Amino acid sequence: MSISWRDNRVRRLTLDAAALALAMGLSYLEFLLPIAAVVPLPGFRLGLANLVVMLAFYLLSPLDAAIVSALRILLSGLLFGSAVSLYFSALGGLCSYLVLLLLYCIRAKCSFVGVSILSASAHNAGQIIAAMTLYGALVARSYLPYLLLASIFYGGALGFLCNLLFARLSKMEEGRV
Amino acid sequence: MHSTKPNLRDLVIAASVLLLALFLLLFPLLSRGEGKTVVLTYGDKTETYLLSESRTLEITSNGIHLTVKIEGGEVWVEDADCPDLVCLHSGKISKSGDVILCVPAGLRIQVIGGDNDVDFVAG
Repeated sequence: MSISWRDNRVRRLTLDAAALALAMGLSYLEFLLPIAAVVPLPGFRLGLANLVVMLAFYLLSPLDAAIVSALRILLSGLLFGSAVSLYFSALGGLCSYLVLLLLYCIRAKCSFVGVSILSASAHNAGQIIAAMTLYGALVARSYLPYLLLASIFYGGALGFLCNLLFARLSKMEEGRV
Repeated sequence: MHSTKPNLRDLVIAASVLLLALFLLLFPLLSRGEGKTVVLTYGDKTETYLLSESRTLEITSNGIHLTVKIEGGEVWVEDADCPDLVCLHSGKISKSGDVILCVPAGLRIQVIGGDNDVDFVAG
């Protein structure tokens, strides 16, 4: 299932770096999209980079996914975001990763669609918690239901894409892409 | 470990999140009771007034001026010069737990019931 990296440090480094670059690219794309018009919470972000984290989790290893996720949050927060969006992103990313870890540990049989929906929801929940500490419990909490609804759709779409990508990429090792 | 084909469990997950979202939407509506006091919070000021006493309040917060009216057991935003005017269109509130917010002004208007032992969360 996973691309073996144990014997090849350089390969691991390269793959992690490539994943990080891809995740940052997606993060930048988020930065370009005008989601502030839809969700007027300053600092709120979609979790497009979650696609890379999910793929890295199962194609590489959970540790690689954690590293990519953490570095992506830090770097894109410093480059494209503000301190506020970094904070939102960090909490969102943390919750999202914990959910990925949980689903892995219980060996959930759902496809990446379910994984993505749950990790997107966790990402939003994390952002709401961040917003609550900054703007007050009531303002932030009122957004939660809408964000959850949205996460079903974009999480589902991302998960569907992840399904397709994973199916292809997991054959990469065997040289059959 | 996860399958790569969408399956029933995905649907179950999606449905559960949907139900959770709907529940969170409806919950505030279900726990409403009769309102007694109006609490206005802006900047670091908190003002409390009785819903039963009619008055007109002029508030300036974050450079935005608002006119809040309490009358007939209801409170609403009569006039505001904030950019989005969401507060103005929020209508009139009268039940405990109801809130009107003006995010640009940092103003919160909340109705609480007299004997409630539930406090609103400060912030």
